[in-house]
Amino acid sequence: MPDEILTRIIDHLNYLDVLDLSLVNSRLHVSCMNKLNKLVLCFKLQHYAIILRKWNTVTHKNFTIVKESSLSPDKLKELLGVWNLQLVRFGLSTTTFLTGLSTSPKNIAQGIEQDIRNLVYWIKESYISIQDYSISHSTIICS
Amino acid sequence: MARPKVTLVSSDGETFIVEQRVAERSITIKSAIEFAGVDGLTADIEIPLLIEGKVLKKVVEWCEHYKTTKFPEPDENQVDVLSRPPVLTKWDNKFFRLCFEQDMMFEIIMAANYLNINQLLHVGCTTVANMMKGNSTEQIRELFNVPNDFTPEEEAAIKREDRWTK
Repeated sequence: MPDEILTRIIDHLNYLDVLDLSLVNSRLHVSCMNKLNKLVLCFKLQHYAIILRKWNTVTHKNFTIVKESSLSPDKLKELLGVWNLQLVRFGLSTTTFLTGLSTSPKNIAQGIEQDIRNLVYWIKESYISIQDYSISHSTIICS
Repeated sequence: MARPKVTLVSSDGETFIVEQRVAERSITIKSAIEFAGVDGLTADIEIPLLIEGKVLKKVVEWCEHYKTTKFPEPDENQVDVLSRPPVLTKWDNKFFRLCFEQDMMFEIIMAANYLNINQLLHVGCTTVANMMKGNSTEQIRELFNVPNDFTPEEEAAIKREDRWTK
């Protein structure tokens, strides 16, 4: 199958589905890596970009965009706790399944991996809106 | 005077006589028609295509169904198709389910690419993506009959890299 078609298919997948697909075989892996490189929002690329929005700030423009390069998992846990922010459902799509993250220390310690999985979905969904506000990939991770 | 007909000829010699507007769902065919008659088609035309008859039949079926539908123009500036996912109609779902059952899903997508039928290509790729979603690696391999060419070591290494998201 031509790469052009493969790319189109992959473009319709979200981050986690792309990861699963990347494991299917080596050719798909290469294509998926290209897709992942586009999703520089994700911490997978060692730019542990975290997009956080306070619970009570509802307008898109009030997004708080935070970037920490090479953020270690421990540092990530720490920051999530310190900021005491909650990630909330963005409401762009019914498929967004992030419905709110508890940031209590206990939950962070126990559920950080799951939280990050949710976060990835959320970033992916939010990305559409972020584009609407003309913020480029590089801006998002550097703001 | 009767409108000129377009005859599409598959790679295995099967012929499909269609209205011009049906054929022109394909940009590739439309260009061929324009090349044949710059001022408009005045006579019947035969267009050979590098597509198997059974696949071409399905493509023609799709074009017939959507012969009067106006699809949005593709946006060249669109960075990511996710920004504007196509709406799959019930008819599309049924169409592609049958294509899949008949082992023709990817042939249809390839044909859409070759014939430059953007909407068909778009909905086809969406359908494939939807079929993958939520499936495990093993299920995806089974679904699309893709061989695993990773060594166990390679697979383990990739999984290790992705440990934060799995």
